[in-house]
Amino acid sequence: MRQVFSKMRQIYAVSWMLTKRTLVIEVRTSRLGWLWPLMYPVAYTVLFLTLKPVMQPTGSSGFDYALHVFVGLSLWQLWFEGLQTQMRAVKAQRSLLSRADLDPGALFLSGFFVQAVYLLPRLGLALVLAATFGSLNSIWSAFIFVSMSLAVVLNGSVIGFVLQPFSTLVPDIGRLIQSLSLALMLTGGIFVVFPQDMNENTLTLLALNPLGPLVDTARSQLLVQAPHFEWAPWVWSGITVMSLAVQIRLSRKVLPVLLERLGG
Amino acid sequence: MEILLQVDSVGKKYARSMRHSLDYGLRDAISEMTGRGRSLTLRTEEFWALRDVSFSIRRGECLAVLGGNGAGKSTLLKILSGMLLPDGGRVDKRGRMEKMIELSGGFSPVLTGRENVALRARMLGLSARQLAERMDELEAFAELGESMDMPVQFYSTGMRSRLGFALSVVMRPDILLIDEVLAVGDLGFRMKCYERVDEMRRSAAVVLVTHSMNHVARMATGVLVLNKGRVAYDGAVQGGIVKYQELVAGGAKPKETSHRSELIEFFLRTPHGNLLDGASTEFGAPVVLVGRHGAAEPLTLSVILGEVKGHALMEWNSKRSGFVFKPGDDFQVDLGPLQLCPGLYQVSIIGFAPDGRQVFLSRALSFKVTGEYFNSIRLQPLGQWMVVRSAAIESTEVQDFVT
Repeated sequence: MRQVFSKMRQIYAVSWMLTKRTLVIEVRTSRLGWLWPLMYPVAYTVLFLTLKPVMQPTGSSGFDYALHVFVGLSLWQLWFEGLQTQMRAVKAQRSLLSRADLDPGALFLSGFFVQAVYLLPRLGLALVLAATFGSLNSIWSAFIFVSMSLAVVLNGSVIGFVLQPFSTLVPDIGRLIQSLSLALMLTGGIFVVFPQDMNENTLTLLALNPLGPLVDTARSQLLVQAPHFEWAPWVWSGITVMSLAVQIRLSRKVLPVLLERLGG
Repeated sequence: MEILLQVDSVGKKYARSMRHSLDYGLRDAISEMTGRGRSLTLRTEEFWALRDVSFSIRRGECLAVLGGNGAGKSTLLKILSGMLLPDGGRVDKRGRMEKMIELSGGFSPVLTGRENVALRARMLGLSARQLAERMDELEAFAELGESMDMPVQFYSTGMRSRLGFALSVVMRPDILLIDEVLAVGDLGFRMKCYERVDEMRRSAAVVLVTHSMNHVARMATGVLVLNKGRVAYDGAVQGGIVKYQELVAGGAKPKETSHRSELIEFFLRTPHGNLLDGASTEFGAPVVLVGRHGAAEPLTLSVILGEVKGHALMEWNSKRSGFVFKPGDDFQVDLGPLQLCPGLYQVSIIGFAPDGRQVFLSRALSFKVTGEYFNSIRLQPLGQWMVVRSAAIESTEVQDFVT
């Protein structure tokens, strides 16, 4: 047991060092640094607000719609970037992996930590806006919002982690995910507002995209509205955690195969 | 002494094409995930890069792995380091392993040397306290000074190699893998590297992949020679060097560059008889060259001794000695004791007309010199060593100071 804890401590320490390395590199090589996590969601929120009368004339508007889009885009971007980071992790860190006994779990964790750090300013802005304009009504809602947001980021990272062996060896998989991104955004309700009285069958279909239930549940806490999905967010959270536990074990066996086929 | 590295019947397959390699990689990944293990049979386009390799190394031993290009040395090293999984056999390791492979790579260019060291050391399992204790030693060894706090992207290749080397040596591994990188940097730094590797050699098990027979003769306690992925020799150092030289030179016959070689015939004579093409003679054995030329004009002769795959080393020119050989003359030249580094050599003869025109170039006659290998310098005359009175060192005259 002691060895297991010691190993977990080492994995955590290494993953944190890798996270700091990534963040330090970002800060040193970018003038805008910490503004970048906010620029994408803020800029596109303004754009969607401007285009709303044309794209979706009915439904909520003003602050509610802005918050809806801002939270959706923030979580979408981190979900998608987390997924891609994990899919490319072995190729990107090949040099390091071939020189040190880097546990794949540490590699996964560092990718997730980086996304979680980028999540902080977005969550902060969303919470401040929601609290200021009165839609956030309790600490418990804020807690659920933050937890579900982390679940979204974790879900994207885990999916990328599971796909990692296949995307490393079959580059077409990465391109396929890229080409499906718009479909994922639309069916995930990232900037589309789903009506409250949706058909059960439609909801079940939409629940197959993990983004939909998870983002919807997170967002509903800030907008004080009933979430569309009842059980789907918790099922997806459970699948995420179980997949992570299994994949960490499998990735240790598979990593040498990936490094071998990548060559160098 | 305990065995730190045990390798049993290790084998490794590669695919010849990229498409097949990725396909098989996917299948192997799924096999690993499902616990089915790998196939030992060759699939389409696959070949064995390594097959049935077995050895063991104890603490304090240094095994040199030799072989020509494509023999499987780097593949073996990658398997030992864990970068590759073997397709057959197993590798058992005890203790911490350190790899001196491509020392200048693996650093994050934006981070400083110090930050890179900290990251790598933590990844190798050192605690923050252990790292702090060894950082001074590392800085002193690497001799990078203020550059330690500069981003690595501004380092030269030599500086990166020194950083990588310093990082390896302060880790104090139980098993050390060295791939051609025994020393880096300028001469002073190289001496430091050799010294440190010598120290580490006594307390660790070392696998040394090198093409330098100097390093092998100096450091190895045993030699493993690979040829086309299989073990061709596993044993003592001198025998391993001979086997390696045979394999490397045997694969490259000297180019047939003779001209009108029918005009000359010759052979080499030793105390044990004539030295036939490809035969062996001992270090220092006296050799006489005997021959006859059939040119229609008087000639001077030039006897050239050189390496089979390389440069000319010595020349005996009859013109310098005042000899001109008439048509049909038999001739002889005493080449003296051949005090040459063990290896493969060849002798050829050029005939020159009085006006300097080359009349013929003979076919080369190759032979092997056997004996104890010290270093790769080809000419190794014994010289006349003696103890002299101390006054000899101070005197400017050549006198007989033999005690």
